[in-house]
Amino acid sequence: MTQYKNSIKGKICRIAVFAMLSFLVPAFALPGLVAQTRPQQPVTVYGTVKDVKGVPLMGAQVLVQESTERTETDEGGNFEIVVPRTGSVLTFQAEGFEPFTITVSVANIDVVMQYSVEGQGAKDRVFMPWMVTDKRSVTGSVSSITHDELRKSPVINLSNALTGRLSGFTVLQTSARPGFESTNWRIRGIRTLEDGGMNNLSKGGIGTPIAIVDGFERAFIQLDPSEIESFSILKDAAATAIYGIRGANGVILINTRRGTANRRSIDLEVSSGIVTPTRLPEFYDSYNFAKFYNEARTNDGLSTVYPNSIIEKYRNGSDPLNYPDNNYIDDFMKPYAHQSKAALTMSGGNSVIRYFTAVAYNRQGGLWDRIDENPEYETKSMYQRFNLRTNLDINISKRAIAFVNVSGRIQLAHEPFESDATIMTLLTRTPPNAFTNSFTGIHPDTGKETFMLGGTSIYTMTPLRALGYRGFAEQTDRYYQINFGARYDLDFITEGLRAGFAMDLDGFNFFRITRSQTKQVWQRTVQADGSVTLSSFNTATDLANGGSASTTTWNGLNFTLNYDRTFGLSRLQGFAMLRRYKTVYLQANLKDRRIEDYVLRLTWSYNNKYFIEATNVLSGSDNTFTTNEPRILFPAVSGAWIVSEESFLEGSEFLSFLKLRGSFGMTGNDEYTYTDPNGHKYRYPNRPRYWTTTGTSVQFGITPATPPNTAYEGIVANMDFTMEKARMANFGIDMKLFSNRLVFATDFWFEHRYDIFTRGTGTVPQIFGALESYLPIANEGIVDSKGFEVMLGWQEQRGKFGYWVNLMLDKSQSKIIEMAEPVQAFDYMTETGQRVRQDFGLVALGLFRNQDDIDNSPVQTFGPVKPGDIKYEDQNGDNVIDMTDVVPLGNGQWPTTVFASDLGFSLGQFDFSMLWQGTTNSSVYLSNLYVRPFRTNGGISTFAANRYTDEASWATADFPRLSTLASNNNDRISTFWLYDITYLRLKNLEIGYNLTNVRAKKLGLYGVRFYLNAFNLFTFDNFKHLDPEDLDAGVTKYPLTKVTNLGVILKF
Amino acid sequence: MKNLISKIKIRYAGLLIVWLLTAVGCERPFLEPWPPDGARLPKDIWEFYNFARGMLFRVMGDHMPTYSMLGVTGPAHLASACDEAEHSLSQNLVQSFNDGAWGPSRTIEFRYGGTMTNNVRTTWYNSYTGIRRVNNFLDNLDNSAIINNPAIPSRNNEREVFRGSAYFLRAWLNFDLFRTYGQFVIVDEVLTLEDNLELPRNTLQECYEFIIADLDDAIELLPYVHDDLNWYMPTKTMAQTVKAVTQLYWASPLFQGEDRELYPYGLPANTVGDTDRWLDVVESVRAAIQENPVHNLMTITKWNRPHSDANTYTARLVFTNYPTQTEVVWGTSWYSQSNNSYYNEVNSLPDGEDGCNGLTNPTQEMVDAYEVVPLQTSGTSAGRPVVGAPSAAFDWNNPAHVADPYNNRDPRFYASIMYNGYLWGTQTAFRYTIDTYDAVSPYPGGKHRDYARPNHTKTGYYYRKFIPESYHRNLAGGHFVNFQRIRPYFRFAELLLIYAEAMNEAYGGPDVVDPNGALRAINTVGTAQVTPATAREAVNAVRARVGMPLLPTGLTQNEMREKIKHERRIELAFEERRFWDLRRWKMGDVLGAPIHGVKITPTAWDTSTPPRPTAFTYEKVQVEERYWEDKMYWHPIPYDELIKYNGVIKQNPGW
Repeated sequence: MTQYKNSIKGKICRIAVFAMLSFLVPAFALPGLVAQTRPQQPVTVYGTVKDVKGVPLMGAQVLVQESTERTETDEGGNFEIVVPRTGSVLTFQAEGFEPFTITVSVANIDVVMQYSVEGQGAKDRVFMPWMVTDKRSVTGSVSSITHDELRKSPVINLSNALTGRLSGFTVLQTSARPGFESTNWRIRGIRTLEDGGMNNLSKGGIGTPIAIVDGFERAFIQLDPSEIESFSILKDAAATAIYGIRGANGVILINTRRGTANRRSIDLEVSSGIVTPTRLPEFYDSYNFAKFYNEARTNDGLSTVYPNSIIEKYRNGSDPLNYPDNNYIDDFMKPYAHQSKAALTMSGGNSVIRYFTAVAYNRQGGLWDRIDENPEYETKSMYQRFNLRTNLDINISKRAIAFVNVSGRIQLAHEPFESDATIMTLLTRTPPNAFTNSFTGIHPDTGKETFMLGGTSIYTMTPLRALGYRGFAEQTDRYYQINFGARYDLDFITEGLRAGFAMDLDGFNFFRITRSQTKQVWQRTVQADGSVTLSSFNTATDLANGGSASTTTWNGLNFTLNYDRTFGLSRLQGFAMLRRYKTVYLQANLKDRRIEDYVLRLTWSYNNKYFIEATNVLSGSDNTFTTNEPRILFPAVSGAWIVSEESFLEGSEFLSFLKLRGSFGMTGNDEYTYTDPNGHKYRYPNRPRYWTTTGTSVQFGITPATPPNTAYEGIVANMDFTMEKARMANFGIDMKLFSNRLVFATDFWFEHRYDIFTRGTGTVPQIFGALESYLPIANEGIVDSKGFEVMLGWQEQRGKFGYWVNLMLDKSQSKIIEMAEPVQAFDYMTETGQRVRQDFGLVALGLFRNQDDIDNSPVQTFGPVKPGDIKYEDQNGDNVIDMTDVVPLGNGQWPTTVFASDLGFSLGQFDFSMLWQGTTNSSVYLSNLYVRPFRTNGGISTFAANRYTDEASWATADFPRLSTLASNNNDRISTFWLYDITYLRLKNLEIGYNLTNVRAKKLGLYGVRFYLNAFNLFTFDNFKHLDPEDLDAGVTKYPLTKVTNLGVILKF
Repeated sequence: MKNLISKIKIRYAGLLIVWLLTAVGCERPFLEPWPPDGARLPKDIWEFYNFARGMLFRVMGDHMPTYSMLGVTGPAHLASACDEAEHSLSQNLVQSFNDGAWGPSRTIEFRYGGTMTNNVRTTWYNSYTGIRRVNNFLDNLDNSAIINNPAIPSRNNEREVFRGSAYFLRAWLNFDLFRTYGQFVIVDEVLTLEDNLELPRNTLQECYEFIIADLDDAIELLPYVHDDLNWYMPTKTMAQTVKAVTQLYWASPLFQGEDRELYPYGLPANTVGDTDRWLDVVESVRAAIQENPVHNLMTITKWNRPHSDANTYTARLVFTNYPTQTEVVWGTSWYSQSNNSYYNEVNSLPDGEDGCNGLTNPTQEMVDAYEVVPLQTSGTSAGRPVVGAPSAAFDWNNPAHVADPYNNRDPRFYASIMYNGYLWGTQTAFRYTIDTYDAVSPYPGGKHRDYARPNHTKTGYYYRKFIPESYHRNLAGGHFVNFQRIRPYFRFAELLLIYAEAMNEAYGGPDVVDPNGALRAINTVGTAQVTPATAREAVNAVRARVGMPLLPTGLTQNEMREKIKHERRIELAFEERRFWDLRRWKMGDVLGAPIHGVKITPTAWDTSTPPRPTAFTYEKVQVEERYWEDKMYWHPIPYDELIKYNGVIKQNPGW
C-alpha cells in the first residue's frame, strides 16, 4: 500500500482509487476464497473442547475455514470432523468464549477455550455510538436486542417487532395497511410538548426519537430483521449527548450484520402466514337501522322516514333489490389475507475480507374483497418488498480497514385508487339500506340491460365503486442506503490512536401511478305506483392516468479520531468527531435539514471496576443558524462502579454481579413541525419574512384581467429563538444473583426539558393580528418528567430443559411546568401542571331522566337538551354548564405504564416462547362513527344498543337518545366517551423445533428449524368493541391485524 | 528507514485529512438553509411595485366578503340563519343559529375572501388579521414602490388611491366587528409581541367614530371611477355607501341607548332614538348619490317570467359589465367557477339535479312576503304587474290565493325563489334535459323532493337568486359551464332604501320633504326617471323599477317603517341583509318564531309513463321551531380568545 500511495500523486485520484478498490476487492477476493482448495488427502480430526476450568463444552461449533464442513461438540465436548488436508484451519466457537483458530497438523486436537473479554458472551455486547462494548463498562442507560429476537415477530414493519422487547421503548400500532404499516414510538414516554398529530396546534416540539442505522440518521422501519445485528435504545444523556441537538428524545441505534472472519454461515428462512383483523366493529342491519332512524327522527321532533311496510320489507328481505340489507364489512372484506417472507443471509470471510449479504423478500396481501370483480382491471391490494444488503469489511493494509455497506429496499404496492381510510370509512359509514351494491338495469340511453352500480345522490361513492371500479394505484418506493468509510491506525504517532471517516449517500424516491375513473352510480326510486325509476349520479369517465413522485436524499459525513490505551490498570479512551448531516427534498414545501456537530468523548476506567465518561458536543443546525445561539454545547458525565469486583464481594455465589451507575447531562432538540398555512416549512425563526403568490386571488377590470400578485407577511419573527434543551439524570443498578440465574436491572431517571417550542396560539390575543399559524415560535415550554424501568429475569438450564421468564415494567410521568397557556377561568381548567397530552372535558353524570330532571339541573349551554341527553357536572357552582366546567379527564392519551413479559422454555429440540405486552394509564376519547349514529349520513353500530328511549329505559341506558342531528351537547369531550384502554396482549408466540445435527446432516444441512409464530394473537382489555391500541382502526382506518405464521430456517 | 517511512506516512495522512476537510468545506456556511425557500425580506416586498400592491390585494383576497355568497361555513347562505330560508341539511353548522347551539365555546365561523380557498373564520379573527395587514401596508406605503406617478396618467395619484383603499378596507373590517360584536378593540398600528396586547374594548361611540374617520379619509382619497383594468377596486362610492351603512347601524335601535349597562341590547324595537344619527345617514346617502357619475338603478327590460334569458335582472347583476350595469356599487372581484366546492349555483339548485345540492330552502314566510299583484301575460312587458292594478298581501285564508299560490306575485319572487312548477330555462338546449320534467317538482315523490335524499327541500322551495338561467348544465362535463361573474355586494337600490329608512325616522314620516332638496334623477322603467325627495318616493323608485304599485301618501311613520322593512326584505332577499337587519331592528321575536314550508299534494295525473301530476293542493306546514334569546343580538367572543386578555375584555352580555 505504501508503494501504491507513493506512486500516485494528486489527491483526487488517490481517493477515487481507494474508493474503487473498496468495491472491487471483494469481487475478486470472494471467488478466490473458494478456489484455494487444492486436491490433497482429507484428514479426520478428533478431539475435545473444554473451558479453562476443564469442563467439557457441549454445542461448541467446529468449522473448517476453507470448506462448508462443520460440526458441533457432543455432551462430552467431543468432536470429529474431516478436513481437506493437513494445514487446513479449524475454528472453534462457543457463546461466551473467544473464537479459537488452529491450523491442523495432527489428528488429535484438544482445545481449551478462553472466556471472551466481555465475560458474559455475545448477548452482553452493547452497541454504543461508534463503539461496541460489553455491558460491564456501560455507564449510561441502554437496552438492546439482537436479530434472533426480532425475527420472532412475523411482521413486515420492523417497529412492530420491537413492542415489549426493550425497556423504556413504547410502540403503539397505528395502521396495519399492507406496506404502509405505521407505529407511534417514544422512548421513556412523552417528555416534551408535542403536536404529534394527537393534540392541538399550540404545542410544538417533536417527541419522536431519531434512528441511527450504521452511524447515520436513517429510516429503519422497513429494514428486514434478517439484516439487523442489534437494535439499541439509548435513553439517558450519557448515551445520547453525543447526538447533541438531536438527542433529547432518545436514540434508536441500529447496527446491521457484518461478516466475521472464519465464521461462515448461510441461512435461508422461509415462512408463510395468514393475516386477520384483530377486531372489526359491528353495525346494525337495515331492519334495525330503519327502526332506529325513525326513533331518532321522532326524538328530533321530525316525521319518521320509514313506514312500517318498508321496515317489514327490510325484515323479511322480500325485495332485496329495492330494499337492500348490506353488511359491507362482510361483503367487502376477506376473513384473512396471506403473507409470506423469505430471507437468505450469507456471511463469512477471512482475515482480509469479511462479507455479509442478505436478500429478503416480503409479500403481503390486503383484506379487501371483491377486488377482482371488475372485468377490466384488478384493484387488489398487494405489497411486496425486497431488501438487499451487502456489508463488506476489507483490510487494505495492516493499518487500514475499509468498509462498504450497500443496501436497498424496493417496495411495490398495488392497491385500489381510493385510500384505505376512505374505503374503511365507506364500509363502516354507509347505512345498510342505502342502495343495492350492483344490479342489472335497463340503461335509459341504450335501452339495454346493463350492469349498474347502486348508489344515491348522497352515496355517490359506494364501497363497491371505491373498491372495484374506481381504478388502482401502483407505488414503487426505492430506498438506497450506502455508506462507506475507512479506519486507519495511527499508532505510529502514538499507540492506540486511530482515524476514520465515513460517509453516507442515501436516497429515497417513490413514484405512484394511478389509473382512476369515475363510474356512474344508479339510484333506484320506487314510485307511488310501484314502478322503479333509475337516475344516475356522477359522470362516467375512462381510466385516467395520474401519479406523483418524490425524491429525498440524505448525505452525511463523519470524521473520527479514536484513542484507546491501557496504562497499567487504567484504560483511557478518547473519541473526537466532526459530523455533518443534511437532508434535501425535491418538494419545495419540505424543508431540508442541516446538522453539524463537534464531538469529544473521554472515558477512563480503572481496574475494570471504576468507569468515568465525559462527553461534550457542540451542536448546531439550520434551524438555529441565524439565531443568537447557532451552536450550543451539550455536556454529559457518567460513571459506573462494579461493586462485585470489590474484594468484599468477590466470589459471592449469591450476588455474582452488582453494578451501580449514574449519569447527568444535557441534550437538545431543534425539530419542530411548524409550517405556515401554505405548507412552507419554517426556516429562519428570527427573520421577518414575506411570501408572494401569483394569480390566485382578486381579479379586477371591466372584463376580468389577470389576477395580480399578492403578498403577505409570513411567520412573525422571534429574535430570541433558541433550541429546546433537556437536562437528564439517570441512576441504574444491574445485578445478577444465584449464579447468574436471576438478573435484575433498574433505572431511575429525571428530566427537565426547557425552552420547549411553543406557539402563542393560546396566549397571544388575536388583536395582535397574525394568523394563528403565522405566530412566532417561542421557547416558553417547560416539562419535567421522571420514571423508572425495571427488568427482572430468571433463567435456568437443567439438562435438556431450560426455561426463562423476563418481566419488564416501564413507568414515566410528565408534568407541564410552563406551556404558554392563557389564564383559565378556574384552576382546574389549567393544563399547566398536568401531564402532556392530558384530555380535558366535562364530567358526565349520566343521561337526563326526564324533563323534570332537566329543569332541576344546571342549564347546559351547548344547545337545547332533551331527556336522554348527557347531563354534566357543574364544577364551579354557577348553575350553568359551559366551557368553564371542563376538568382533566382520564389518564391522557399516551400510556405511561408499559409492561411486558417474555417467557419460554426449551426442551431438547423443542422451544417455546411468548411475549406479552400491555399498557395502562391511558384513556382515549372516542368520537368516531362507531359512537355517532347517523352522523354524516352514516349507519348505527351495535354500540348504541342500550340507548335511552324513554324514562323507563333510563336506569339501564348507556347511550344517549338517538338523534339524526349533530348534538353539540352530547358530542362534547366528556367522561361519557372516555375509555380506559388498558390492555394486555399476546404480542408474540413462537413454537420451534430444531432438527438434530445428525438428521440435518443427512439432508445436507447444518441445521434446520421449523417454527410456528404469531403476532397479536390475544388481547385482554376492558373495551371489547374496538382494538385498544387504536380505536380508529377498523372504523376510519385499515384494521389492525393478527398474524399467524409457519416457517422454516435452513442453515447451509 | 523506518523513521523515514513513518514521516512519509504522517505527511500523507496529514495531507489526506487536510484535503478531506477542504473538499467538504464550501463557500457557504454548512448550516445555512439551502436552497432558499422563496420567502422574501420586507424590503423585497416594499421596493417592488407588484408585491407592494399585492400586500393590499391580499387583504381583499383573504378577508373581504366571500364571492361564493355561501357566507357561513358548511357551506350555507346566511339566509338559512334567519327567516328567509332553512338549510336542507339538519346537521349543517348554520342550524346552530336556529336551534341555539352556539355560544362562546362554539362560535359560528364565516367564510371570507375571494381566493379559491375560502377562509373559514370567526369575524373576530378575520377582522384583526386583516387589520394587521392593512396597518402594515399603511406603515410602509410612503416608503414603497407605489408612487404618484404623473408619467402614467392612470397612476398619477396612485399612492393616495392605495392609501384610500387601505382606509376603506380597514373600515369595513372594523364595521364587520361593529355589527357582530358591538364594541371592539381599536387597533391602528402593527402590534409587536412586546406591546401590551391585553387591551380593553373601546366604547361603542369610539368604535363608531373610528370607522367613520377611516371612511372619511377613504372618501377623500378614492376616485369615483377607476380605469378599466382596475374596475372593482375600492371607489369613493363604496366608501360613501359603507359610511351610510355604518351610520344606519349606529342609528338603529340595537346601537342606540347611551347607557350600555342599562340598555345592553339598545333601545326597544321601532324606537327612533337620537334623530341626529338618522340625519347623518340621510346626509351620507345623499353624498353617495348626488355627485356620483356612475351608479344608478339599473333598468330592466326582461323579468324572470314566464321564462328568462341573459337580459334578466339576475343575469345582468352578476356578469354584466359597467357601463351597461350601473347598479352594483360594490361587487366582489371576478370569480370563475374553477372551484367546484363552494359556488352558489351547484349548492343552490334543486336537489335531484345531477350534482346539485339544494342547500338553501326559502321559507313559506319569505314566499308569503311577496305581494300578490296581477301580472301581464303578453306583450313586451309580460311578467310585469298590470299598470295601475293594486297589490295585496298573500293570504292563506283566501281560496283564490291558495289555489294558485305562485301566480301573480311580485316579479322579484320569480327572480329569487324556485317553487313547484317553476320552469327553468327557455331554450331547449339549456333545460335540464335529463329530467323527465322540465319543471322544478318539489312535491313529495317528485324528483326534487325525494324523501330518501337528505338534501331534499324541507320547505318546498329552492333558492334561485343570482343564478342566471343562461348558464346551464354542461351535460358532458357534469358541471356548470365555466363562466366568470361578480358577486353584487352593495347595490344602488339599497342606497335608496337606506335613504328612505333614515328620512322616515329623522323627519317622523314618509312624506316630509328633504330640506336639502330632491335627490338627482333615478332611473325606473325604460327612460323614465324620478327625483325622490321623501322616504316614500325613494321606496317608490325601487318599486317602480319592477312595476309594483307605488306606496300611497299619508302613511304614518310606523306604517312606513313596516313598508320599508318589507321592501328591504323583498328587494335585498338572500343578500345577507335580513340576518343583520332583524338584529339592528331588535326583532328577535321574528328570529325566534317557527318557520313554515308548504305541503304539496298532487290531485290529478296525466297519462304519460310514469304519470305526471297536473294539479296540486297546497297547505302551509311548520318546518322548524326556532330558538332565540336576547343575548344573541350580539355574537359571543370565542371563549378561547377571551381568556387571553386576562379579564381586560368582557364577554358580550348574556353569554
